[in-house]
Amino acid sequence: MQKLLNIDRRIIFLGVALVLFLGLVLRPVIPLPPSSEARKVFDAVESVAAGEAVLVAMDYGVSSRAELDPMSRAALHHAFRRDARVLVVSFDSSGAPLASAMLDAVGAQLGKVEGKDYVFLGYKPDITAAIMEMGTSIAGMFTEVEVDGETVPTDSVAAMDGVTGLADIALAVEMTGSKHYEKWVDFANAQFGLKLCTGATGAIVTGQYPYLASGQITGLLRSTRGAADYETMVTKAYGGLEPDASSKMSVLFLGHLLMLAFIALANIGHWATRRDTQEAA
Amino acid sequence: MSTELSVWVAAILSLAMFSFLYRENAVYRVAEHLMVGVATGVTVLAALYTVLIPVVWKGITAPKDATSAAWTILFTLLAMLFMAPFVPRFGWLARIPCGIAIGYAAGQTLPAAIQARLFPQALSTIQGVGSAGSAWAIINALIVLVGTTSVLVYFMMTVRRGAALNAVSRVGVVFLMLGFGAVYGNMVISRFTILIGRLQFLFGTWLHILPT
Repeated sequence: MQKLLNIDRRIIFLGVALVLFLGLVLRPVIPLPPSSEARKVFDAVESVAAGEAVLVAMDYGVSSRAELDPMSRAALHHAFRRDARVLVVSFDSSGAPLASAMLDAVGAQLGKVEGKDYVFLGYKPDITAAIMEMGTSIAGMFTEVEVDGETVPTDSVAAMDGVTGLADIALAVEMTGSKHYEKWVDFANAQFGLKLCTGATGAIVTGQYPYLASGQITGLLRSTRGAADYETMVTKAYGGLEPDASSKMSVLFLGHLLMLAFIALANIGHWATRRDTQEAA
Repeated sequence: MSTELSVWVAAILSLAMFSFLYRENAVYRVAEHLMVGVATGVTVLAALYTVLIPVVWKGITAPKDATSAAWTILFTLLAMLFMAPFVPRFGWLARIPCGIAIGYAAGQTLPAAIQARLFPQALSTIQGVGSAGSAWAIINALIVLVGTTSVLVYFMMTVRRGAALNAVSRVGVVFLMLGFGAVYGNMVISRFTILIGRLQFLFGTWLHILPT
């Protein structure tokens, strides 16, 4: 039994890699009903009327892409399918080019026109000051944007017609793996009344539930599960969205089973060793 | 197998990082230093193109008006004082921009914390039971109320605790443990997802051995 407590960590790593690889190859299908918090995000985007502005904040860098890219892609896809005007912003310096590239890719896939149907506002380093300024003037914060490779004044872009401050945005969807969501709640929601949905990595999502319960956040996408739920709902309603998070869910399930097995084995080993020690005493 | 150079570079660097799982080694250290260097480079470039050129340089060389130029120069000089510790004799000057930055951040954060967190969260906890529509929602709201209250009691360090408060405090510990468990469970999802993403890249994008 002592051996159970002294398993070489490399065996555990190898076990995890093998199980996940098998999951990726075999792709078991595990049907899951959409979670209520993901349903709220879907309903919030559904409530946006054609021509209204949706702000998608992709506040994450490379390390959070695996979890947050699927939900960002689904949100952009959904907003475009609703014929909303999509404004994208990023308060992460390494994430901004990735956000811009994803917006262009999804926009092109759905035949949307840069500058008219969507615009990438860019990156700013101080999120608090930026949101405060955006409250009254988005074009005042992001004075220039790039449209088709040319730098133009933000307020001259058709996608910004009728959009002055955050009050003119029908819905904001914030994706993050950091505490950035608190700034959106503290300033954009509390001070400017912006309707806010969030998508979060598993590492930080627990802290967002109180805001969901109080209604400060309208809907919440919880890590890969939330992304898979949302992806499934958007695909069912509109189609054309490649399964990304959904393809990870079954593999994730196998990984969880392995983790539970390791935890059970370690506890059995611990319990048995303690019993042996007590009996010897 | 992919024929793109960028995919090969990313795959080799991923394997170099994974090699740490076996043991610390030189290949891992090279990849680690490369990552730190690239991340620093991106941050510096972002600062250059989003702050130094558009705000500082353009703010001084092509200002909207004389007042905005004066403000830009003043705050640029103040920001430069952050570098004063490099000259030990004038190191104390860094306290000026530090004081301004701390005061600004505190002034900005405190009202927001009260307006957006303290009151709405307290109200949500208290009103949750009364405003719950179904039996399940009432039970849920009661759990939140008991959990919040007992955890707050656990952190009351300035009051002498009797048997009653100790009992409530022990309930708080149970809620804290449940909270930590939830955080850990979500953390596992998070880390597994990153690993799955990397494996999809290595076996799919790079080696093309995953079914499409």
